[in-house]
Amino acid sequence: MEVLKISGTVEWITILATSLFLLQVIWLTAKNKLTDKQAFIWLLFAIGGVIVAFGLTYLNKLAFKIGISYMPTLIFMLTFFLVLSLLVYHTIVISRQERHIKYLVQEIAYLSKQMDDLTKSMGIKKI
Amino acid sequence: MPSNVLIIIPAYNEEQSILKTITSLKKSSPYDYIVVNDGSIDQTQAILKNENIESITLPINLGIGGAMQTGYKYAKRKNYDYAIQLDADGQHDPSDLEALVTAIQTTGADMVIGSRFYEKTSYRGAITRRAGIYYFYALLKVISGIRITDPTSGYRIVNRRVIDLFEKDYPVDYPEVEVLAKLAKKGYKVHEIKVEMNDRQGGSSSITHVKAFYYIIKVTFFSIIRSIF
Repeated sequence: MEVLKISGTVEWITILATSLFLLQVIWLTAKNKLTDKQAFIWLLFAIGGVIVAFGLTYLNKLAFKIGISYMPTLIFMLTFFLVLSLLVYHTIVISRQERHIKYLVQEIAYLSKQMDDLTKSMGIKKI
Repeated sequence: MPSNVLIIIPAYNEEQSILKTITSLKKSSPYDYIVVNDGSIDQTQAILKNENIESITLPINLGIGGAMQTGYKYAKRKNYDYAIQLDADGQHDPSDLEALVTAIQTTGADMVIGSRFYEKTSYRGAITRRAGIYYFYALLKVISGIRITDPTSGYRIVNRRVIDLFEKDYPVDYPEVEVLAKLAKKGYKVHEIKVEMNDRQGGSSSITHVKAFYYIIKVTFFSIIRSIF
């Protein structure tokens, strides 16, 4: 098994693509499209991508050492698990928000009932 | 003197039956009640308002679990000792209310379920429905070691301990079986008594074939989880 050779062009294209992704995350953060917590996670993700792009040669050697002859397979595998973890994290966030929404809906209903009872007891007609 | 029992009636699009259910309830029960209008999009809200029926209206539909939890929160805040779930579609006979209250007070149970199968009743449900009920009976017997002949019955009374528990955490959909696994895990006592159930007084069941499949899978999964953790 031979170590896969990576051409300079591939390296530069990868660096360009990951840098563009990083710029996109920074842009979305600057425009407040992402909240601080979410922006932080994506920033880590994007910076990690850039670091990997700069170290493709080392990653290639690492892949070879652990028995993966085609280095992109290693990247796909790592990215797959990372994306899966992100999905689980975001589902947790959605679940938490669902709970909060349910709580708020119940509170609104209860307060509305209290207001109705109060207006009734005071003989005020609700508009 | 205000009674210490609150009847919680979750209602979603029950314009055909809600008035009949409340009229029948008022005739045969001395207890307080609250209709939880679960974001109905038919005339349920108008009927509740015009007929001056005690109600609390959720601005959006939360599902049966969210509606019931709203009722439990109300019971907790108003300091009720017992809360009874009564369906708005008229299937639950209010003449059994007294028996439920007596049972919970005399047996010392934390929850008493009105069962169609505890003793022989006139109930004749579809074979698929009965098979589903038997499946959940067997599931609870295996995972929680409790024998509840009618685990899907919504006609149930709970005491203050359970009100405190449910107002904090209650499943969003198809809660009946899942909460039994949870109560068993926490060491709460559940008892059953015989009740008669009527046919629906209006509307149709919300459980379609697809939903029934989801119901079985979801309830099985969560009941196992609740019985372990």
